[in-house]
Amino acid sequence: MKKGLMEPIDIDKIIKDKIEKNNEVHQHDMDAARPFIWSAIQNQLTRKKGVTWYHLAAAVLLLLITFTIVLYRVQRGHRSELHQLSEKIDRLESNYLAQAELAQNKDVQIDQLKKELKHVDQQFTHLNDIKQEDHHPIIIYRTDTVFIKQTEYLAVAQDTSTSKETDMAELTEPDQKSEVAQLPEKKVDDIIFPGNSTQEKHTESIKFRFGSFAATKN
Amino acid sequence: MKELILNEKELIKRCIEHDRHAQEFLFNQHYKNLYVIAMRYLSDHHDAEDAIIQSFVRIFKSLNSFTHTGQGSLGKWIRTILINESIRLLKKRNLIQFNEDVRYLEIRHTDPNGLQQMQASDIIRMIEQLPTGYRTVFNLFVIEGYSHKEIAGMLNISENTSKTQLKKARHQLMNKINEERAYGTN
Repeated sequence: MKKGLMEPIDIDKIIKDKIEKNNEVHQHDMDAARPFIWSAIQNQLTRKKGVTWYHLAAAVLLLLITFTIVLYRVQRGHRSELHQLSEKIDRLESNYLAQAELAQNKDVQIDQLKKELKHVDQQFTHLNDIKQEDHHPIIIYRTDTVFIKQTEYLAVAQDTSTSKETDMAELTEPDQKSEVAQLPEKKVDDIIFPGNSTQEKHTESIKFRFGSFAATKN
Repeated sequence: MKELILNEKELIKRCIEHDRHAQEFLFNQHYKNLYVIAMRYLSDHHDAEDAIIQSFVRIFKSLNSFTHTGQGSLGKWIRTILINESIRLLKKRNLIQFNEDVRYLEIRHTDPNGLQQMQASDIIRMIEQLPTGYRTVFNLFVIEGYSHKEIAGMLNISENTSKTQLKKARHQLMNKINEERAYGTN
């Protein structure tokens, strides 16, 4: 080292030593600021951090993800619902075709049955006509008849339409002679006579009707 | 009653557990030293206070990431945080300006005894009066022991700029000391 000159490294060393040994500079200011600095530190440590941009970004991202998941699930639900509906429609359609075929078959059957019914109906009409022709209604009047020799029943076949009026007339105003005269004679061949074997199965000319019988009795 | 926590590991553990007493103990332990350092870099009380507040908040929040490598390692770590915070504050306020002019860098007639006889507080005040660029590089190189490469990386400048700033800082400081000495003797 030249006299009057110092190497920079020596200057640095001296300055460093002097500075590191001294902490008393600004003593007054640092003591005054200490409580303020400490309380400021505590405030910053206890203070809740506000919402920062990355919090917002994370929130938005979370929302987006949640929304996407929800949308995906809803879409999936809709798709499965549509699938089920289309399956049901297919099933109903196939069922409808089967039912339609069945209905057609039933129609054919109905047609056949109608035809048969018509045929049977015709047959019945024909039979009815025949029956109406063959069987006239038979009215059997019971008459008390006084026979001289034996009791005999007289069966009278009469037309229903006319018989009612005539009967009433006959019952109200019995006319012995005319009655007897009006009554058509009927063969008794087809009438069954109960009991008496000795009865005659011949037409009798002498007959008294109940009315006349009553009259004679009196 | 406040207890004395001598074990650094225990202190760290309790600070991580948000023990307010331990946190206050750590703050008081390093406060003076940090204040002087902050003032050396920022040369403003309000800025120094801001730097200390932000540094301690960062320290308490990132203590769980600190690896204790022996007694004193915590102090070094805290000091580094404060220096980085001070530089960040200087950059934020656009206070660092580097003059590339290298004229008048000769330090003449430096008396070793004169420098030795200077009060530390006077030297500190002289450093604080240096331009921001000079002061920052001088502090980082001479006091903290960073290399020019590291300083260049920290301040986003070239190594040559760092060297120039250091030379200028030294020159200005020595001239001031000489002036002070001359004024004192006269």
